[in-house]
Amino acid sequence: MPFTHNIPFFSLFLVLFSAILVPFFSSGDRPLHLVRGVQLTVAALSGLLLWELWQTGESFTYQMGHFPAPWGNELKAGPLEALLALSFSLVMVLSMTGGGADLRRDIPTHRRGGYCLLMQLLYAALLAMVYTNDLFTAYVFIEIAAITACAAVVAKESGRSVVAAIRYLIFSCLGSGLILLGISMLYSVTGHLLMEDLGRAVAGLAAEGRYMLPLTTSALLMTVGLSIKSAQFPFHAWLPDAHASATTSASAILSGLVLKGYLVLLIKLIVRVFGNTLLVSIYMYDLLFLLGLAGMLFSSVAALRQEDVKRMVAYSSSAQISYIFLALGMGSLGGIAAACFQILAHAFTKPMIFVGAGAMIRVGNGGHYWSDLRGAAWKDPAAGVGFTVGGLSLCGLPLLAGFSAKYSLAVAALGAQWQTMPALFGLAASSVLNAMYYIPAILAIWGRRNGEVAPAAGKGWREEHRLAVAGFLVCNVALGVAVGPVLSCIYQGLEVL
Amino acid sequence: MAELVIQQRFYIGAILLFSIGLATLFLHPNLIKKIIGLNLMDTSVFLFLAAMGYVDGGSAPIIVHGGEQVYINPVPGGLVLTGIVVAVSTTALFLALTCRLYRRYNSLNLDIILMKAKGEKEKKND
Repeated sequence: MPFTHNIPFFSLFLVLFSAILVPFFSSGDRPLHLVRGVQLTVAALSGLLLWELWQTGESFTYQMGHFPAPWGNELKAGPLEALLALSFSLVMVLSMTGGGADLRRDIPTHRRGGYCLLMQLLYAALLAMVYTNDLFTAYVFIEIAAITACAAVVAKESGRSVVAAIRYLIFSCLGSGLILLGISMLYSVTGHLLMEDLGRAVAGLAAEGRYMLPLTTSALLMTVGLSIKSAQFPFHAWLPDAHASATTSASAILSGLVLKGYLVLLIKLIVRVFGNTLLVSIYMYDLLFLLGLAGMLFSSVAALRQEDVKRMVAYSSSAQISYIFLALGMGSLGGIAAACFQILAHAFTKPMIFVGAGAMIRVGNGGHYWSDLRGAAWKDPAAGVGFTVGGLSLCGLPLLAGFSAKYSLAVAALGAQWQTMPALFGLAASSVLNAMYYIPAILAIWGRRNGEVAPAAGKGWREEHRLAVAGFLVCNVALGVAVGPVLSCIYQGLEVL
Repeated sequence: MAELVIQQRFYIGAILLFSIGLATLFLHPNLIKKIIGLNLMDTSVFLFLAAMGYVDGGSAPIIVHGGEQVYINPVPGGLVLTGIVVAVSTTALFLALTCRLYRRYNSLNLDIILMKAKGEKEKKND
């Protein structure tokens, strides 16, 4: 077994071990450095794995403890999983860097170690959701992600953040309960928990037409559960409150990564477990498509009415998640590839917007509203550029990641059957709606303000959030320009998923 | 019909408990009752899982020497154990958050807390 086959398990182990070590290093900035160092290491390892898997185009299964299936647990890695792990690692380290100053302001010194520990556990949960081949392991890490993300929301102590965290916890537990019910139904009719065995068993049952009711119910329960947890309309009520009162890095990670982990699991369920024929026969794709279409329009309309910048960006996140549901609802390989590309594009765009907004709120002395942020970009140009490029990417400016995501979505739509016109209409309408709330925002932050316009003093370009914005910009533009190679990697990964 | 209900009594009970838990979670404004509703929901799923592993006439899944025996399925029991651990952690977190809210707003009623929190925000803006 070549060395790179150990990378999935090793990265998980390294992240969990570093999380356990954090309480021993809790003085000053050391937990943050430890956590970021480990995230960079895992990013490098994932890059190495991606490089190797891209050249062979194969995926491998890692048996935990060398126990064969069905007694042992399995991790599976292919080009797509390696690409997702690399992206999640990069977004994680850039978000923790970009939110560093806000972390020092919002969280007291003796609690910072605890926050870093929880973020590291969240990161482990995301990696596990990417690599796992077992349905129940996925459930365990879904729960870990739910609890740590809830702690991230409540880290910045205030009355409203606790209420937001409780609302998030309630929705999250409801989603987890539905997912567990779906998993138990699926296990009871097939007897398997590993995804490949499950896929074979489900295909066999579907071909004979037996147990259709449990299979349909299980698919529906798991889809609804994952939609609740990933803030898809109509279950997105918890997201704006959670964002409005969270610290910058927590908002960035919540919107950029946590919502995506559940969608990666949904993609694995669709491709590995349930399979195309069954899902078409139970109209699951149509449900996903309609949910996505409704979400795109309603969330964007709701974002128009927001006065608070973080709540507006939260509704925008919900709308972008709906793009992924729309793409999955096409029911074709192109649709799933477009969904994966949108996952990557949004993961690199939304945290940049949050880091920029957080920095501007900081120089504007804490006001979240547009009236407080007028002209804020002149005080901190890097943050302003980050917010601007992020907003333009989501509106669909070419050469940026958002445009490439919409492009691959449109290409997938053109290949669909009845979904073509609704999908293209939805794309166009939501792009216009995105522009309607991002362009005024961008104009507001670059507007002229009577009085002080001098940029805030700092360590110059070496200040943390400027490094983070630079990193995000590079990745965003790279993703936008290198659409071809990235999409070919995604297609290659989907074939062996 | 009655035979079907008796045969599937555990699953029907689980669905009933889940609905009761869901209603309690969403309809009661008291935070402690919400936590109880959440636990009811989780318990119903454990009942579902455990009932799924039961085999009529089967014994505990420990091999004793001397004769073939029908054992019940031990895997769902493992899944239930994991689920119980998760439910305990979530309940602990929920209770900790409830303590915080009580210390700050002196109420366990979520509607009253929301009203006070909204009032707080508007006062900050003046």
